[in-house]
Amino acid sequence: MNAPDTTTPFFTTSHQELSLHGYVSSDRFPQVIKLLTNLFTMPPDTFTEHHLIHKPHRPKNLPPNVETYYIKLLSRVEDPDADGMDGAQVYDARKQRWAIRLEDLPEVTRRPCVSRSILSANTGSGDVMGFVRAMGYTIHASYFTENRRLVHNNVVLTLSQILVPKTPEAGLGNPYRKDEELRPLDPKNGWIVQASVKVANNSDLDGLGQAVNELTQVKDMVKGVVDLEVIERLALDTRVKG
Amino acid sequence: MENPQRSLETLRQRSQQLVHSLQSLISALQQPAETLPPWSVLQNNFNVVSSSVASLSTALHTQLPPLPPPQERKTDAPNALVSYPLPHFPGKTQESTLTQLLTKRHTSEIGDQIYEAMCEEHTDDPGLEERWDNAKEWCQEEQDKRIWGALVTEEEEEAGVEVDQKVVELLKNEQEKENFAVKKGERDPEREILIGMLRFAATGIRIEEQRPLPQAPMKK
Repeated sequence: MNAPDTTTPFFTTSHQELSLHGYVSSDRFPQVIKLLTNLFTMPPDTFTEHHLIHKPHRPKNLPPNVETYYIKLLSRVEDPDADGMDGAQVYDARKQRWAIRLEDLPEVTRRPCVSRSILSANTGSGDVMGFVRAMGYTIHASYFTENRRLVHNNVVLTLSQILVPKTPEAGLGNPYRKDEELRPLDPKNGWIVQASVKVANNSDLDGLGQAVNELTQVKDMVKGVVDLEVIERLALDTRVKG
Repeated sequence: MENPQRSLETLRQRSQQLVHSLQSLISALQQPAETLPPWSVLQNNFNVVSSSVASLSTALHTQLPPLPPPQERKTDAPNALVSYPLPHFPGKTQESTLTQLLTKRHTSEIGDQIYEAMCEEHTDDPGLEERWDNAKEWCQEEQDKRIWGALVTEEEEEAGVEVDQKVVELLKNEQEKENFAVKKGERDPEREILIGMLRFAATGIRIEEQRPLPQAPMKK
């Protein structure tokens, strides 16, 4: 299983992700972060990500039983106060280092978690947005996530807030001008919690078993602080309907 | 039915006997013309078939008595044979046989036969519309004559039949479960927001524009 990578902007390539989800309301958030910091004995990683959801163009002669999926372009937004950024104000989506990712519909499983296949490819140089457009995909939505990440063995606990552009004029959004251009998707300003384990191979039964055990361990660890549960698989359905 | 397993076993044996006797008759008849067995042998075969049919028929009559006309029906005699597996049926290993036995889906031959029957031309029956309308009226009348949703009919009540307390309890429990499920949904707006946001993260469709998810059946 891969350890979370905090140095380079590369994302984990294709893997099976087992996860549990929860919700923290905005008023409880400061207290929850403090408690989790103590439980995990580490300060949370803070970072922002940009997600671009793309919708495929549906060809006319597609047989009726074939499904098409939304894919996403994912990139880590550099901290404006990091070395070499000099408090940047301008954000150009095209200059970002994108990973192309497809999150499959979670499988039907008896395990006490959500289990889904993540197909992911990192990119080198070149116009990734143009490439994806040339494949027949169009930008369907753009959102940023503010993340706080904690790790325990192989389990990564991420608290995130989804931020969307305030107005259509804001285009894809500028994460360096959060207050002016972005607003939280949740009207109540809450945070999504995800506890996940990445397993390299879906046929690795021992690995999957260990992942489930570790997830259950973390679930018990944070009981009372956050309620982690198995979310219904159709909530994470990336298939294009209609 | 006293012992469904034994009755089914006898039925199965009788059917097997019938199949067997039919098969021997057919094979006897299918000999080439010169070597056809003498008529006495064929007569014997036929007698065997006839007795197999008779025994199967009696077995069916005893196991599944024919329905008396509806007015005379006093007790809840079984009017359908429902099969179900016992708890110690090896479901895990025999799942395919189980689905084969319990499926209500037609096999393709039956499906074809039904299709052919449906495709056949209807003869123009001028009185048909009228008959359907009459039937509809009659059904409506019969329906209005009865109260639906009570646990005993008027006749039964007059006869002094008491509502089975167990049934009342069961129904009350189910109603409570439903109420609880509704309340749980109301008490969990956080869960609703969570699901809405996760669906947005997956598809980019705004929460206001998301179609409701199909409800999963209640887990036991």
